[in-house]
Amino acid sequence: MVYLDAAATTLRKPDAVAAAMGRALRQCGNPGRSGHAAAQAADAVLLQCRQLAGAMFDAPPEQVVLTMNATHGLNLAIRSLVRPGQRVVVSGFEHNAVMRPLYALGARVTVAGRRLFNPADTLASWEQALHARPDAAVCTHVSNVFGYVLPVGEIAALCQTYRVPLVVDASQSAGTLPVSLRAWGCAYIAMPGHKGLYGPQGTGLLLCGQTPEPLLCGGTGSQSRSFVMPDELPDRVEAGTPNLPGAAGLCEGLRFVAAHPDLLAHERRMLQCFRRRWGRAMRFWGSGNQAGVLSLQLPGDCEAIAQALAEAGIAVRAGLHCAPLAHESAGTLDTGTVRLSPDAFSTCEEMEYTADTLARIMNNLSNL
Amino acid sequence: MDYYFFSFRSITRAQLALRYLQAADMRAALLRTPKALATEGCGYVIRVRAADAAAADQLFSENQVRYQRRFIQRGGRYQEVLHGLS
Repeated sequence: MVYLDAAATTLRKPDAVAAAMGRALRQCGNPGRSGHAAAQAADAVLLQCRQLAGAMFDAPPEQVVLTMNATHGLNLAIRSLVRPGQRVVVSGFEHNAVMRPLYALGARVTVAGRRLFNPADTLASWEQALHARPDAAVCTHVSNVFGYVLPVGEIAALCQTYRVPLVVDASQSAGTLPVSLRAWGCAYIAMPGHKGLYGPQGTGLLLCGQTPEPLLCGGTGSQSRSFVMPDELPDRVEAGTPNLPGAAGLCEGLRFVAAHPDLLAHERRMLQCFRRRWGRAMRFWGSGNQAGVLSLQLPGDCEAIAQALAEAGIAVRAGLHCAPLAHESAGTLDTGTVRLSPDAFSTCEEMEYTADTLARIMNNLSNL
Repeated sequence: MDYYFFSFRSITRAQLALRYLQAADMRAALLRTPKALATEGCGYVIRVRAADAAAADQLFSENQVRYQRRFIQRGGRYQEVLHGLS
């Protein structure tokens, strides 16, 4: 299979990921609950995970919270910062993992910056929106539909100027672009473990610049005489037995990413390989501020085209990609797009094969 | 032998504290908090020899490691240490 759906999850992982998960299943007990060797082995895995992530994302290890996925982290962050009816600024490219929690809370949402691959417009719109002193802001680092790299560092600086707490959704950037809790001064940064960090599904990270409110309450193995959650991170928001095999796999994913600082350049090269072979004009091609995600707006039903690619052994994603706001901003809400997202293991031959196959499918469709 | 115990509010903090001691080649153990000391319920302590206690305290201070309380164990009994270690 040619796998070009890494923006949904990276299917191909380093071999060490599965090996570490197997070891954890065999050797790790429940962390933070006992003093025996199996519990201590589990404790060591969790600390390793926090330390590796902390080093990569410039965050103190105890402020690295292990989550189920980015959605879990975003819900924790948003529900900690936003009260019903409060005003929140978001970018024009947010995922439903941001929009649905905000709407569920009854937040009053202002959308700032809807022009793709135009950081000047993005920043001007954000400055205008922040001038109204909203209660919080949420911004994706990279659009999961179009690959647009938003100027998050500058947006974070604006948020600091206006004293607006910022949540960054690093779902598509963690592992390929620099992400820094300290430098950005964010309230929270959420990310999945199973995409650009090459960990297993069911893992994610929330970097905490503030102390969040728990979504789940329960046992932590600490301060157990109290019926309220500890106020200390990470225990405060890590109730219950964690996904230990997942954390062990994520450690290896983080090591893989740390050893390959050129992943963004590789993904961009892969998109160039496709573009050269495809040879047609592409509407959603950014100039320098595009990560390894490419959306194609093609004549015909995007889902039918993706199905035809699947039948030819090529895995892509079509439709709205759980980001209707981004499609609304780009004017593709009614058509959707076909999205290609290579990973560290993609090859130029795979990208050229995809271009050739897609060209054949489009010719067949136009001959119907 | 007499031991000192430093208690922590979370295992993560205790683990990080232990790393500092290990990096300084100090003998220390991460243990569950003895029941007699667990006023807040379950938790973790770091145990060091009495001879190393002042150096451990100094390392924690230098690295801004926040422990909760400290105790000395003598002859099977624990006593909280409220003032400076020497």
